[in-house]
Amino acid sequence: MKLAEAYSLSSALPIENKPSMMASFTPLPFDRYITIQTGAGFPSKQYSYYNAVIGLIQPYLDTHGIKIVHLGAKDDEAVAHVCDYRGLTTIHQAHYCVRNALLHFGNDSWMAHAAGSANIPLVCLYGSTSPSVHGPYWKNNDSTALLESHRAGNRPSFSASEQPKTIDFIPPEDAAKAILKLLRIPHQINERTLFISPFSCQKITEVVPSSIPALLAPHLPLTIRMDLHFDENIMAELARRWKISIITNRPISHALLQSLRPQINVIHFEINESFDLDYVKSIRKSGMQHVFFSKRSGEELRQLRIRFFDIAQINAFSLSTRADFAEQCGKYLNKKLDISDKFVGLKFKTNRLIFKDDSTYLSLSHLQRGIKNDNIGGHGCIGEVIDDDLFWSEMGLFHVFEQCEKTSDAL
Amino acid sequence: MRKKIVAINSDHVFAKTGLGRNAKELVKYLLPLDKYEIVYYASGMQWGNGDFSSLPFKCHGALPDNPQELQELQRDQLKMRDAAYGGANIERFIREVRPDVMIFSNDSWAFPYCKKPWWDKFGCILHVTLDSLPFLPDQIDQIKNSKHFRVWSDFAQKESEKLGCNHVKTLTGMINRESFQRLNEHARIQLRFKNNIPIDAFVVGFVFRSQLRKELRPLMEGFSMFKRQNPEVRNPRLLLHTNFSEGWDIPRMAREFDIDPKEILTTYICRNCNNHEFRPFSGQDCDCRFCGAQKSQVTCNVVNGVEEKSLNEVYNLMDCYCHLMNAGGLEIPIVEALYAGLPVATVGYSSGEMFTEQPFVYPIDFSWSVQFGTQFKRACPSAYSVSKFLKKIHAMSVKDRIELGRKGAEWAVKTFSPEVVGKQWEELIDSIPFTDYDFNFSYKPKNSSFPFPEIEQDSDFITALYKNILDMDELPSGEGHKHWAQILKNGGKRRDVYAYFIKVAEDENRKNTSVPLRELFENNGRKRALFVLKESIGDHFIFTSFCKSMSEKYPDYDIYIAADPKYHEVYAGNPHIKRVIPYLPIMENELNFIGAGSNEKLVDVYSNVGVPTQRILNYLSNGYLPSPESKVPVGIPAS
Repeated sequence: MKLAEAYSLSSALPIENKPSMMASFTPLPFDRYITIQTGAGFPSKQYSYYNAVIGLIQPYLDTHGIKIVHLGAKDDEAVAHVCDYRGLTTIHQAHYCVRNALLHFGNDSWMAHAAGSANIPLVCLYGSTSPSVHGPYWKNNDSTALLESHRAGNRPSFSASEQPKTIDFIPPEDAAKAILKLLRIPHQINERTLFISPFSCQKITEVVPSSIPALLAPHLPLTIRMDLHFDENIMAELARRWKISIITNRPISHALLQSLRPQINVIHFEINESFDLDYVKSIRKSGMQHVFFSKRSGEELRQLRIRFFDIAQINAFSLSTRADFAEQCGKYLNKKLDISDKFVGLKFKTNRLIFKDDSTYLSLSHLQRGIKNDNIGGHGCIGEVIDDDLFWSEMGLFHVFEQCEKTSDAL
Repeated sequence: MRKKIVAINSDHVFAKTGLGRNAKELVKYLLPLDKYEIVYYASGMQWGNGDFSSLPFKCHGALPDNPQELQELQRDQLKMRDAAYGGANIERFIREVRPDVMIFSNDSWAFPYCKKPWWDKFGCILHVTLDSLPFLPDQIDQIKNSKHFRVWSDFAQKESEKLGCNHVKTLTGMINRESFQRLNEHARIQLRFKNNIPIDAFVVGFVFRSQLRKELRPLMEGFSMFKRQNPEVRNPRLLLHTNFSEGWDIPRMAREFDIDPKEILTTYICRNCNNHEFRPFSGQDCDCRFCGAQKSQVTCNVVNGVEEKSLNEVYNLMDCYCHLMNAGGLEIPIVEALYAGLPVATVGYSSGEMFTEQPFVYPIDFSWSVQFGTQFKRACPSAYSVSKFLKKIHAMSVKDRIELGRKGAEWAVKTFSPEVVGKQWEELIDSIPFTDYDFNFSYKPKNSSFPFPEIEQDSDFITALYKNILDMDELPSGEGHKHWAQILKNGGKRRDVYAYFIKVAEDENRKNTSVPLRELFENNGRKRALFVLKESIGDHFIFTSFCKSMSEKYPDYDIYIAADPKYHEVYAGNPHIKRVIPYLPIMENELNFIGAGSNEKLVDVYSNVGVPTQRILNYLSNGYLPSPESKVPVGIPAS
């Protein structure tokens, strides 16, 4: 039964009225807007891909002069390119905003009930909970889309935390299409997500230190890929102008690191034979944030760990493979995939950019093949999937999708 | 002129514990003086215990009478412990009794009161058993925040002085000496004869609870060593006045150190006739030779103990007394052994220090260890040192032993006897003036709803937060002010600082507002309906849909909703609700509200509406749920 029915039963009171909570007038500098809420009572109820959804709908909303108002607590997950009112409204002001929105989009939380009871079009996402129990009791069925995860065929866990979060099986394009459909906005969204990693939404800027790229924005934290090109001078020059993290597979002068210390966030050392025990010891004692890792596995990794036993803990960094992609993709779509399929014509989105000289690249595989990226979008860049081992080894940074011929939900 | 009201909070005077015995002696001393009105606050007893009516002074128990409240406390062991010490009713006691002086006598953690608004507003005397080093931060806080701080042994006084706390003084336990003295030699021989103990036996004694603080093992090892090194000693005996079913496995330890079980004597008492005898341990539940009752004899324990006069017999069977512990507030058996004129040995740590400083008490050597968890220092007595002590006493003539014992008894009487310690208490109480405190220590709530102030200067902004939210006059030169100014200077957001102040205010309010339940409701003669729903915002939003129905169904009632404070605003301006009150765990139980039995009736209608959704889930599947096989519709509006 729904929550309202449960409360009716336990209080012996009839369900005769809609919820009534004060809504305090809140002046917004625009009339046409939708509201979103990324927070919810439990982590398992919080969808991870709001950025991906917003990235899909924003061009259409912009065309129609519709803003996106982000409501909720100040610690709720942030979303790029929205009017951020997190932590700035009282509950009554947030209520007002929802009641005057063109649509509300969010997780299973009170604002969904508020939107439903005010007959505001609603798109709401459910993973650990179920719309049949926790969905709004009051709503306009014609303008409500309660999107439920397939949960790999399982029932809702009703659990506060899940690993992985079942709500994340809902494809961002489904939410985007539902929003645009309820707003009656025609669209051309024709992508179908096959795999999406939470890191695909995270802005990461990597620089191959063969030169100092001209296009780098100031104040951007950089990751210097000394493992791709080892040049201490350029690394030092970059560190003088930007805060940096470093990935290296060769020892970097300890004195240089110490001199740049305030500018260094963390150093990732890919440990191999070029590192001696004293160097690793000195890094450990330096107080700099550092991680030791190795891409090796099995006996090779064991030998490496024996060598550095008592000095450093070497984390295994397992490279993902084409088979991993097929498995993850199968889980996401809730169907078995044939790994022998050629993954042709697939596209991917990422927010990680690799800068080398004056060009940018979307993956190591693209860098290796010299395939430059020629667009930088607000919600990530799109490129063609390259079906090789190097590309799949970085799949944890990608949102992979296919483009269908027809836009099934386009008006 | 009115009598000074002296309240005492400790174990009940009839409790057979060190604290109880001390408190009994204190009351026995103070009552006949007839210049005080004594009111007792007994730990571990219920407020209105029927036995109190037969006492020659007023007495209340620390625990609530209400069985529901007790039940609530029992759910949480820590809360129950604090309540048993006195925490649950202390403010009620103080309000009702309005003492001029109150003595708090127990372990230090029994009294977490030194930051209470009433602390030291009248004569509060902390009398605690600080027995381990280093002192815990809470204990140091207590010392620094108490005007009258008394400890049971001078060890704690010396340690406090090292911390610069010179106001800490020693007030030892009061130990009755009437029953304890050395019997004449003829009586001692008769006592041995009566208990089948060879007259020439060399008896080493230890009176103790078989617990972790007591170091039995080095005593047994030392005794065994003494026997091996001195084979000429005839009939050595170890008299252990303790409960063999508790703590240490004594028979096993005896085997380990090759001690003949017949050499270990103990006190048996009959649960049926209360007669006692001393003999080697032969198991529990033995037949009593005095009354013939079967399986009625047990080794003595806190329930079946001997009278003090009989305890004196225990000491008089001994040739010397060896009390080994790793720490202790005040070891009463040492004092009793001294009263009984015995040569005594103990460990010079903790309260043992004040004994081993005396030339007539033999100091047992020890090494240090540290207790896991608390990191308290613990003494590890040396078995070799024990054997040396035994050898020394054995070699001593009876005359010399008597002389040594006489010196010890003289000192003990001067130090621990009720007339001596009682006089010190009397002087302390008399030095504290009558109180003019109004006993109005209700908490002034912090203003957690103060709106965000729009003030230009950071410094003025911080001052405003202190003043208006926390009701504090924090100057810009104050540490707190400087701290926040630095945070803002470093780019911290004002909103975050404001939110922190509000949170502190809310926490303080929650911690300090223990309003009696009845005060949550308006006393206007109208009937009341209470709906309890602890959390959360979505549930409360949905529940607002029932507010109108409530007032229609209960038109003559005031409607109350109990919820966590952060959800109260959901009901702001709701015309159907009389008041939203803070949720308390006690509200889970309907019987606390509807006047069950002799309980006060607080509401006429009670409904804990969150039971099926938040306490015992009972709504999730009682309706539509897709089966695991079905394909969940995605993107299709639910019906």
